[in-house]
Amino acid sequence: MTRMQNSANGQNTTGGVEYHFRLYVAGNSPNSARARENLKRICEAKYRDARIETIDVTEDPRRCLEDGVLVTPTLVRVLPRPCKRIIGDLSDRESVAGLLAG
Amino acid sequence: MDTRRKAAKTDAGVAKASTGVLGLDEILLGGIPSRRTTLLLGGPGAGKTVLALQSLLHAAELHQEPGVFVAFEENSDRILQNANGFDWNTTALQDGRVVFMDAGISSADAQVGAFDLEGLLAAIGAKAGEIGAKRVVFDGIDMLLGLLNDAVAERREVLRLNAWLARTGLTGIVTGKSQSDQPQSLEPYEFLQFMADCVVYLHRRISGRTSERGLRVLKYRGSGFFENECPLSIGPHGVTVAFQGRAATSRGASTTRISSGIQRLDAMLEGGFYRGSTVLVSGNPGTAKTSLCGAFTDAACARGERVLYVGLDESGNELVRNLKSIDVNLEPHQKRGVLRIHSPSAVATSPQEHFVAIQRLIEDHQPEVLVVDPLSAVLKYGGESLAMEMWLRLRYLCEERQITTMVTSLLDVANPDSESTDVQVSTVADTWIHLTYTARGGERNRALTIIKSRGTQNSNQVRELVLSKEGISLADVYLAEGEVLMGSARWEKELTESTRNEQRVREIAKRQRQLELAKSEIEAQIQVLQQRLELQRLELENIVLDQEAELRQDRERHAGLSGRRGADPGAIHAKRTGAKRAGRKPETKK
Repeated sequence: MTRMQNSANGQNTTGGVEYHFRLYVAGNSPNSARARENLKRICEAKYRDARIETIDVTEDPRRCLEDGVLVTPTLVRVLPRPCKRIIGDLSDRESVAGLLAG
Repeated sequence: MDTRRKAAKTDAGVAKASTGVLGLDEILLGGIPSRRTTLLLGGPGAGKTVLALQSLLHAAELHQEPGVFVAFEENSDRILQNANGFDWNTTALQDGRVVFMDAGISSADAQVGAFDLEGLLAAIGAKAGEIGAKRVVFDGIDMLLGLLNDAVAERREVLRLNAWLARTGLTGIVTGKSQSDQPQSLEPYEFLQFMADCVVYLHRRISGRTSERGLRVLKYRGSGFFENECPLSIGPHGVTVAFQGRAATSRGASTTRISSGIQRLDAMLEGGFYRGSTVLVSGNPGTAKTSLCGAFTDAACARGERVLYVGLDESGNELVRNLKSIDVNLEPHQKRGVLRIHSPSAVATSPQEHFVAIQRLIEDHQPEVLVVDPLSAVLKYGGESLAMEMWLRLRYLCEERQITTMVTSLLDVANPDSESTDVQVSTVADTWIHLTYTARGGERNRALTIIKSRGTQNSNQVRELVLSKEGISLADVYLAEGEVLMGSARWEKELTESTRNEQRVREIAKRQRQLELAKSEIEAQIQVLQQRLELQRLELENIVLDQEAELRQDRERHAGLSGRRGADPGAIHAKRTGAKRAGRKPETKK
């Protein structure tokens, strides 16, 4: 159902700020697979301790409806507030990193 | 090849889903393809979203087919607000048989790299399964495709959508914006159109000061459809498409006559107008066109027929009040519900909108008689060809339903080229009555001429139309020195004529009396002569008797003398005669 990839408890490498990312994907479609890979790389580089939650729309469509996410892949920065959404396969990792930090 | 051609010929292979949009189902010969994709293209404000939502609600209410509305462009709250502006049954929205899904991508969302509809379709599929949906609308696909910003990606997503629709077996409507009049040439719609089983194009144009909406079907895989553009209108009921099929023309002509409401006019028309025919009443303002319409309406209502009166010059109340002054009372008919008076504003309303409104009213009221007064106001805006088209459509609609139609038009016969639309109107009409004014001796009088009446040996003569408190009537006109006499002049002429008649009558009576007298005189003379004749006869008889008596006396005297003198031959003769006489008068014998 829902796959969770938790990093080390409460610890992060970015000065005490807690990061929680949620990635909505559609199975193993090419865009989704790329987004997963890209997010993984970004986190490895900058948000080592971020909490990453991946939701597969094809497995849990109801969850997407509740969250109002319809196109895939979509990355949501749940924490810190405010919430942010980035649509796409996150291929420009620099931009994504910048957006997630802002 | 053979089977394909066969399939294209017959509609049997394509299951249809009703859209509930008046006119559109007819154009599509039953509806959009069931369990397939229909693409709805059109410019902004052409009515795509309204049409899509309307058909979704219709399917849920009337066909027990729940549906999902996926909004890419507008958010669902706005669409719901719009829906409440129409007189639709929205219970399906309240009880969840029609659900909205906002698929709008907020401008706050960032986009980095490619995305796809896989997740969206999974989510919609889940929702559709939950409510048992049979239909789905993707509203504003252009918004989504615009974000893809890549022809290959667009194609891929369109394919994905199409495959998903085919897999789920939902009847889908996909709407997309197009700015051009040539939707065929537009990417990504070219590909979309190729994918879709049915493509409907909506347009909105500004013509003069009025906006015109139209609808055209570009493609329908496996089914026939009506190819011409049809006017579309958005009113309180939502989208209505003005469509009249070709079947409309194949009706049998009625041979029934119905009264015009004016006795004399009926006589001129050999009994009235044919049922289902079109009557044009033309003339300048004030020539009593409306009065003629009023009389016709009154007569129809009195027969118990239903009448739809579209009056554009005056409000319903004004019309009823004004007609009362010439003894045409429409009020009771209105109260009984047989007469419906519709008086829309003629200002800046396109002919289509008028036509669609009239079509809707015909559906509602089911009239046997339609009056449009004046038609020229309906056709005023929107250009000549459009006006003509509307007029033809209206006529076909009425013909199909055997609705007898009376329309009025401001038409200047003296200058027929002034407005060729009017000329065309008159060409189409079955009966054309023209009203004019004649000014003479300080008066204006109304004259009525039947210019044509198909299937009728109509009278060519001009009649004077007389409006009075007692109603409308026609009077003969006099021709004097090549001039038509009406009003006072006619009255004078009539007076002279009637005086002459009276004289003639008097003279005949006199002559009759004289002859009577002569006759009785002769009869009296005959009587006198007869009396004289009788007198003569009596006199003659007396003379004979006297003579006989004299003769007898003479003989008796002779006999007495001869008896005393003795018999002689002369006495024998006398004896014989005496015997004869003895037989006659025996008592006188001795």
